[in-house]
Amino acid sequence: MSHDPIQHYQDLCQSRSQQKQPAWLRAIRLSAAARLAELGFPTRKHEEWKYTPVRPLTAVAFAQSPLPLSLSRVAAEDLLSRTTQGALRVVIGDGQILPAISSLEALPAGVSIRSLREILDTENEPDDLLRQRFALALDRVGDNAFDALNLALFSDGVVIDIPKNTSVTQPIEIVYVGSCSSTPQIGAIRSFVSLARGSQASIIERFVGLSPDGAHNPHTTGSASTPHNPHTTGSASTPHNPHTTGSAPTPHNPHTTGSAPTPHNPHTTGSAPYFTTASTAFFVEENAALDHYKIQQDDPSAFHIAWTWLHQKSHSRVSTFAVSLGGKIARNETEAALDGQGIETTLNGLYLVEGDRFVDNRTFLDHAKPHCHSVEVYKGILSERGKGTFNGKILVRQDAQKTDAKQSNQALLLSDDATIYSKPQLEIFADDVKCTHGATTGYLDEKSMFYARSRGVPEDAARGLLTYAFANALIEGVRLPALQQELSALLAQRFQLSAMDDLMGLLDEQELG
Amino acid sequence: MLKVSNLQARVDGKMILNGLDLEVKAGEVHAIMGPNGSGKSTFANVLAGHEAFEVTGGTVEFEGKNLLEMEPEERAWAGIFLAFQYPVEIPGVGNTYFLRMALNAIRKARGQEELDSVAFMKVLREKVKLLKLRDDLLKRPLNEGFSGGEKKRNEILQMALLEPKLAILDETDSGLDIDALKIVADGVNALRDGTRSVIVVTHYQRLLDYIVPDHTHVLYKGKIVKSGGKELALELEEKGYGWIQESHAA
Repeated sequence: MSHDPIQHYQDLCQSRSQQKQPAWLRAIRLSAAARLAELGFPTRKHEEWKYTPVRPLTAVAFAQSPLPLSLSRVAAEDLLSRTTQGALRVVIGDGQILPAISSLEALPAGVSIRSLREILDTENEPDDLLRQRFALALDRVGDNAFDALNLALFSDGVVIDIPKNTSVTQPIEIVYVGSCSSTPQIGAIRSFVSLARGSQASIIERFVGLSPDGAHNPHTTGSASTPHNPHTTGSASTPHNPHTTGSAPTPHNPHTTGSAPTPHNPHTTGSAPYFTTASTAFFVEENAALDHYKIQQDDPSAFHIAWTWLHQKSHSRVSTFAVSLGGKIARNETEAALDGQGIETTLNGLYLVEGDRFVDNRTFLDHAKPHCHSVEVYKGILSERGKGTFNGKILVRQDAQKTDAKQSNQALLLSDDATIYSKPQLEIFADDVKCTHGATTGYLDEKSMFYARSRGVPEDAARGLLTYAFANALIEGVRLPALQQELSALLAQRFQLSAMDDLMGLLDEQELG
Repeated sequence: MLKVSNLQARVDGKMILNGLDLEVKAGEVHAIMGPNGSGKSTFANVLAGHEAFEVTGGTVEFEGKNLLEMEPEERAWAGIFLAFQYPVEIPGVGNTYFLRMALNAIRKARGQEELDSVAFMKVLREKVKLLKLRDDLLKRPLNEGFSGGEKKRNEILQMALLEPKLAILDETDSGLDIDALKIVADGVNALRDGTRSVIVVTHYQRLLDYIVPDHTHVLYKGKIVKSGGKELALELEEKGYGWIQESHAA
C-alpha cells in the first residue's frame, strides 16, 4: 500500500551504488544506507527533531534523476540574474553540476574548483585526503538519519581548494537549483572546501527553486503579497527541447550509459516539490579566514535539509551567515569544531517564516582548545502560521580555558499564530570561561513604534520599517557589498518599504557642509 | 493654535496631569518649567499622542481640531513635532533613510509630491549646513551609538526638515554643552517665522537665553501654577523651585 520511505531510499542507494565509483566509496554509501535503515527517520520523540514535521517529507517518493537538468535560455538567464553579481559560480541542478552556466574561467592561480563526481569518475583512486574525509563523514553520521541519506545518495558536489597564503578576492558562489517538475526530485550534494594555511576566501551557497514555468518564485525574492501560481504550465511548452513529448521518458533509469544523455527537463506539466539535501564541509587551516554565506531561497513547496560543517584550526577565522527565506520545511544545521587555539567563529542566522512554512535551525559549537572566541546571533521573523526553531548548543571542553562564547536568539512574532521554539544549551567543562546566552521572543518595541509614528510614518509602514530594521541590523554585517545590497533590497521589498537605493551613494558623492 | 483646557492624564494608574490649561497662539514661544515629576514630559508626550499616557479628562484643540482623537502620525501630518528627551535607537535603519521616509510620509499626507533622492538630499544638505552638523551623523544607523548630544542634534535636524507648525522640545537642553545648546537654539530660531510656535519644556533657564520665550509657565503637580514673561524664567533660576513648592504646600 503506502510508500515505505526507508525501502525507497535503500532502492535509490542500490541504483546509485551500481554506478561507476571507487570501491571504498560504494562501501561507504552502503554503510550509510544501512545506517539509515537501522535508524529510521526521526520522529517527534527524538529530542533533536521534536518540533520538525518530518512526515510531509518522508511521505514523498523523491526520484533521483541521472540526467542533468535542462534549462531553457530564458530560465537560465533568469536563474543567473538571481545569483551574486561578480562571483565565480558553480551551478548545480537537481544534484548535478551544470558546466554550461557555471563560470569558473577566472580562477586565481592554484585555486581549484572541481566536480566531486568527476574526481570520483576519472581517478580510480582519488587522493587519500578525500577518502579520509568520506571516512570522517561516515563517522559523523551518528544518529542523524538525513545525513546518512545524503551520504548514501549524493550525486555530485563541489571540491574547492584554496592554496596556502592565497587570498581569493572574488567570492565563489555555489548555486543549488531545485526544480519543481512532474516527478518530485531529490538533489543530494556533498561538497568539500579546503582553505590551506593563511588563505582567505568568501563562499556563498545559494539555494533556489525553479517553478515549472521556469520563472522564479516571487516569495523568495520579496513582495510578500504576490501569490505564487504553480499552475502556469498549460502544456505546449518546451519548444527548445524536442525530446519531452512522445513516449514516456525514462528519467529514473540509472543505466544511461552511452553518449550524450538526454537532459531531464523541468518544463513539463505538474509541480511536484523537490528536496535539496546538501552537506558542505569546510576545512579551515591555521590562520586562514573564511566568510561563508548561505542564502536559502527555495521554492515554498520545497524541502531543504543542509549542513555546514566547519573544521577550524588555530588562529583561523570563520564567519558564517545563514539566511533562510524559502522552503516548506527547511532545516539548517551548522556545526563548528574549534580545534586549535585563538580561533574566532561567528555563526549568524536570519530566518523569515510566513504562510505555513517551517524553519529549523540547529547549531553546535564545539570549543575544544583554549583562547577561542565565538559569537552567535540568530534572528527570526515569524508571521502568519510560520513556525521556527532555534536549537543552539555550545560545548566547552575541559581544555578550552579562556573561552569566550556569546549566543543569542531573538525572534519577532508578527502574528498570534506564529511560533518559535528556542532552546539554547550550554555545556561547560572548563572553569575559566565567559559564556552567555540569551533568547528573546516578542513583538515590536512600542517606544520605537511611537517614535516613528510621531515623525509622520503611518502605523503599518512603521511596523514594516522596524521589522526591516530588526533583520537589516544583521545584514549590515555582510562584507560583500553586492550581496548586502541585494539582501537589504529584498527585505525592504518584503516589508513594503521604498528602495534603499542610492542615498548613501549620494551622500558620498556630494560634499556636505 | 493650541488650546489646552483642564487636561488630566495618568500613567500606570497614577494621575500626573491634574487640570492643565494653556493657550499658545501662532508665532509664540512658551517655556514650561518645573521641578522633576511635575508632569512636564507627560504633557509633551500627551500632545504627541503617546499611548502609555491615558487622558482622563479635558480637551486639546489644535487649529480647531480635536487633537486627542488623532493618531500620532496624524498629529505629525497636522504639524506637531516632539523632540524627544530620550530619542530611541533603531539599529538597521540608516538615519538618512529614516529622515526621507518621515519627510515623504508627511508630504504625502499633506498632498505634496514626495521627494526623490536627489531633491531630498538637496533639502537635507541645506538643513545640515544650517545646523553645522557633521555628515557622519547621516551615514550611521538611526541614533545607534549616538552620544547624548548627537541624539539631541539629530532631533533638531528632524525638526528642521519636517518644519512643524508647533514644535515641542522635551528637555532637549538637558546634558548639552554650550555649543550643542547653541545649535539647538539656532535650529529653533530658524524655524520661527511669526506663524510657527514652540513649546520649550525645560528644567533649566539656560536655553532660554538663546530661545527667548514670550511666556513662561511653571508646572507643579500637574497644573500650571504660575505664568509670566521671560523674566519669570530668570526668577526661577535664581530662587530655584523651592519657593513654588513652599507657596503650594500651604
